[in-house]
Amino acid sequence: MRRDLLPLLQKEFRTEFREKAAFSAAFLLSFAALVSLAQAAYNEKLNTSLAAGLFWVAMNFAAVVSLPRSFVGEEDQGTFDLLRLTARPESVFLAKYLFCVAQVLLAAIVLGALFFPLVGMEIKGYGVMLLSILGGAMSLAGSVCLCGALVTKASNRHLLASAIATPLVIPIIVMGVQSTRAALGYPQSDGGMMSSLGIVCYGVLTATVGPTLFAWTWKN
Amino acid sequence: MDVEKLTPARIGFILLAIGATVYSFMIPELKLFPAPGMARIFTWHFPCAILCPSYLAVASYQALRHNMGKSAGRPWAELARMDQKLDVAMLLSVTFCILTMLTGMIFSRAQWGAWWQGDPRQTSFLLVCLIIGAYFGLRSSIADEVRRASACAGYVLASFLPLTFLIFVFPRIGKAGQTSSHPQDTISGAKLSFEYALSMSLVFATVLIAAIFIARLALRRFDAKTQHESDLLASDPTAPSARLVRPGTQPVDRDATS
Repeated sequence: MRRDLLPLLQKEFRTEFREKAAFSAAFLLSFAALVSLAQAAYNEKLNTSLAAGLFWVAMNFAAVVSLPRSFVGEEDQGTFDLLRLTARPESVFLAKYLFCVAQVLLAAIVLGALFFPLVGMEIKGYGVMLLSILGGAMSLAGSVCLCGALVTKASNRHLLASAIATPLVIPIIVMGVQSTRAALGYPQSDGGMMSSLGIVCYGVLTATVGPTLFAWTWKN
Repeated sequence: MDVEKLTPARIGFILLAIGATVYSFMIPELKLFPAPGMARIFTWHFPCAILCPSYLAVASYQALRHNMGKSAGRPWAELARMDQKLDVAMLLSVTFCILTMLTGMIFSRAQWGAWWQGDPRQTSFLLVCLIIGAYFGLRSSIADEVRRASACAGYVLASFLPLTFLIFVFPRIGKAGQTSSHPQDTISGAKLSFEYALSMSLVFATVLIAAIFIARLALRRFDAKTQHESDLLASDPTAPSARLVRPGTQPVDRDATS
């Protein structure tokens, strides 16, 4: 699989460096969400729960809008059949998944680094925060990528990918909010580290199951 | 009404349904609630809440069978039937999900004066409803039935983990578990009175039999439709449906038939 995976991953990054569409979309969406949230919270003292919730809602929308493009774009450009001929489905999914993880991580770093100082929040547990962002990126990328792959033959695929991915990522948001709340020092926070580990496990599970599910739907 | 269709099993079911419904209104009130009589709705609420995830599990099993069958090169006719079973299971699960939410909302309104309380279980069932709704959105968006079947099976399997989390984990973790209006140990702690347990069992049996009957009816209609299509294909190879060649089916030799 590694023989397939590396060229495909290179292809994803090369295409991105040429077009600069995915990363700029993720960055712009995160930044726009950040500005809107900061504007809404202007002169307001947000509590830790609300700040964590807003952060993960922004992450969710940045992911569900920008990530399905990796699969849907292939179908739009008519390059999916070429991939079918040259690569194994598991490798295609993993390459796109890793690219999407990088994309969400970038969005999360931009969002986290600007949002919390802007709303006057201080991160107290960096370990929990980093773990939840890493797990969140893995889980969001896995779930949304798979949804993007499922709708490639649908009539309104761009809209549908976001629509079917949104309810699937709610558990990720729930765990993400709990761990981020703990990282921000929420007084009654219980199990912040457990939630972070839970979200990482969720991410590992999506990365493990995703290629098999994708391989099943790939052969039509 | 055709009297010949009233088999002993059907008569038994009708009697069970009437008995379960009447008995569910006769069980004693629960004085600990502000509206004691409305507590009886629990006997309808709980079976629906159990059957919703049960049918989701059935749908996941059919999705797994479909995908594994596809990998093993099973004929399309078999895969289509699995897809139909999956769809019927999803339809029944969304019906039970909505019934659970409706009975819960009626109870909430009667007891606490609000249709929606933001209870973790209410929220989680709403999200379950959204996930199932997204499935139907996906199903209606793909015209090709082979691709639709495999995409839907993939989605059902992909949603298995979030659904498990929302139904079994989310209402029990952290603050959500402590603030929920839903008691955690009524059933497991054997705190249900005999009348309520009996009524709930009768309602459960009624609803389950009705659901199985509906599922069988839907599958019979699907079989009849498939049979009609294949008859049409055999009689008129130039019909629009005859132009479709599906995996696992033998293409029609038009020269031979004409």
